[in-house]
Amino acid sequence: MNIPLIQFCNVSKAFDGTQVLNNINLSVFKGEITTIIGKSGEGKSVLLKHIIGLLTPDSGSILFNGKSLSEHAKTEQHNLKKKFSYMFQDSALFDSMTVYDNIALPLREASKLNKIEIQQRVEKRMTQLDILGTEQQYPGQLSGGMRKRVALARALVTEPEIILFDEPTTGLDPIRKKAVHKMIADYQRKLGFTGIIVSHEIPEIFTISQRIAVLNEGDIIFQGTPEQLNNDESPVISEFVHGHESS
Amino acid sequence: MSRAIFLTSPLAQLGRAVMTLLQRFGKAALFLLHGITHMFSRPWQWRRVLEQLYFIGAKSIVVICVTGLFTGMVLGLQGYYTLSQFGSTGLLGSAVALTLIRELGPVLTAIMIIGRAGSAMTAEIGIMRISEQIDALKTMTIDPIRFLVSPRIIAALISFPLLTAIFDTVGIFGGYLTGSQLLGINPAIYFYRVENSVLMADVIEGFIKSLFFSITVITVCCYHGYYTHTRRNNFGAKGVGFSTTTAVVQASILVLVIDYILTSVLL
Repeated sequence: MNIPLIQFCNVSKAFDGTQVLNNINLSVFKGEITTIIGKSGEGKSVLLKHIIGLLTPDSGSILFNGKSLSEHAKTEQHNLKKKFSYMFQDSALFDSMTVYDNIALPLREASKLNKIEIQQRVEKRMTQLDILGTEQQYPGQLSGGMRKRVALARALVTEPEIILFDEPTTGLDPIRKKAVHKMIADYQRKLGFTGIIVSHEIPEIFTISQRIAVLNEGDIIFQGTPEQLNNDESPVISEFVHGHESS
Repeated sequence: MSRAIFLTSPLAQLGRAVMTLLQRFGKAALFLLHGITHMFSRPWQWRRVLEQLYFIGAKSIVVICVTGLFTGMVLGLQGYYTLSQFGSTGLLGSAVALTLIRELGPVLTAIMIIGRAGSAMTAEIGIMRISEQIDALKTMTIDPIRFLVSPRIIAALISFPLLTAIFDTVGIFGGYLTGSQLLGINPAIYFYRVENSVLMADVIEGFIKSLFFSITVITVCCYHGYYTHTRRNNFGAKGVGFSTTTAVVQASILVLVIDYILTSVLL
């Protein structure tokens, strides 16, 4: 049996008495793109933040390769965290740094690459995301869509093994949305990273996902392939998927 | 039973308040310790230290000079009229220099830096917190305290004593302007008294104070920005505003309290 790369075991989380995650069980497998869908405010971002350690569960555990983070040695924990990259829903760009510095920061601080290698990597990502020419601009001078692409470039620049995307295409026009989806899929094939995407782009996101998880009222009510999701006849799933399709 | 609860309730509230205060002190001390530890961790953050030296130090020089000049001038005027009652106007140089070097220089420098740079630090770090920029650093395995606080501690430890020295020098010159140029004290006597009365121990006392103040100001201002999201009922921009006000007030009060403690120890 294939051991999941990341596994949520009965994870619960509440904020000020409001239960957001309720005994969640979820498996993410290596080399696959898992997309989490659900209504707004259901706790999808909270779920992602648990994976990267920005939030800790009230109860339950999150396993990485079958072991919880605390069971790994200190250096192992650090090395594990270095494999991750996170693209925030609101981009979370450093507003007092230029676009170039924003993208180069994780390489400058957490890699041993020299200045020229960093420049080459940053320019490559900027070219791919069509943001070349904005190097010396500040995030506040960019449109929402451009900021998204800078955030995406920053998430991809370290060539991480696991990337968490929190609504990577929200606010983008349909052409760029398609381009970003294609780029994520291409990179995933080329680099083999594991992706976890929170998205509302139904059904477009199904084309690049190997697995779908549906979060509803604090619980994962479905986990499976996009085909299994389409064939699921339970009213909640059906309404959810087709409701999105019809809108 | 209810009578017992009524009687113990104020005590319990007091106990809770004391516990909360102690917890905050402990949290701030750990925050400072974390920042100090990473001052010495590699790779060195030269660029960020230089940026902070420019922001805390170089950009404060004008404010410090103006404040120092007028403080010295006021001391010259007040000192002259007080000393003239005892026929000791010749001691004005000593009075101005010792007051500035031992007390007013370090204290007023710290308070001016709190207003100019400390408030900006709290606001900047606070905005980084509410816009998830600090979380973004964590996801990149960049220690936010190392990245944001340690360079500021180094820069403050260098800037505060230097700015205090500038404040003292300009202040002594301000005393000369009012004492000698305006009120007619012989300049030679004024500067002779300055040179004659100020000992190295006085200068060291002033510098020790400024070093303590630098640590206090940076800890309080960065701490309030860093934990701005934990404020109850004050979120977003309003929360950052409250954090900035709290940081300025607390840092100013702490500077005065620490000044009293250090003066009583060092005297």
